[in-house]
Amino acid sequence: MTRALEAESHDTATRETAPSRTDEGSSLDSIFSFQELARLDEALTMSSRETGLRFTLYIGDLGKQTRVRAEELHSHSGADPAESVLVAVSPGQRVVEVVTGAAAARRIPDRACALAVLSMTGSFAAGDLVGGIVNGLRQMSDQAGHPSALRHPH
Amino acid sequence: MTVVETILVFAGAPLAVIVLLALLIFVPGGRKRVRYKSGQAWDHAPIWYEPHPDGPAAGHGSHAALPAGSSGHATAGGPLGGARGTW
Repeated sequence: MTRALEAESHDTATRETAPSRTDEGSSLDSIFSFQELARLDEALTMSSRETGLRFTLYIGDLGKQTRVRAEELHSHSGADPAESVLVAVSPGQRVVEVVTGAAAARRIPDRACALAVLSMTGSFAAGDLVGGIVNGLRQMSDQAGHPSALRHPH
Repeated sequence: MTVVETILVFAGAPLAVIVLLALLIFVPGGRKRVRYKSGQAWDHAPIWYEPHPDGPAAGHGSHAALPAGSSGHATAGGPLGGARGTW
């Protein structure tokens, strides 16, 4: 007596493990190629390591009130929002918002953010999302410099 | 060289090259990702990239992992800074 195999698959991912799933569903490189993702990853990681701040990048719709939404996202952007910098890009609305926490704003003044945003929008207008983001992150992390704790590690 | 050979060499060979290149370019399924152009609608789901946490090699200040399912409380530690831009 044979039975048909139970072929129905169950989604066994938990809330914590689901985001790291890579083997199924929407392909990871549907928005950016893996090469571009690697550039983004390196830019985010290196600027965060060099400055001690936490740079995160949000790409998606920001709703009607883009600034309010970006600040709301920033308040959820990690354990210590004061030391984090959120770069929120909404390509559909053609808006980019940079939000710096209170501690980060002392190291990256608003004028430096505006300059980084200016270079980003220049690239975005030419259709180069990744290049603009990478350059903007580099400018902001250069402006922030190294924190004194990292400058003299030993 | 006969007439047939001449036609083959001077018309057939270039045509074959052109057809090969056209096939390489226009063959379907080559490129699914559309390149973003300014002003184009963005119908992807929102995505949030964050840096790698410091590995063991980076010997300085370790970031505490977020507690699972935490929603992050808005610790208003002062005024927010930043900038905005449109293109």
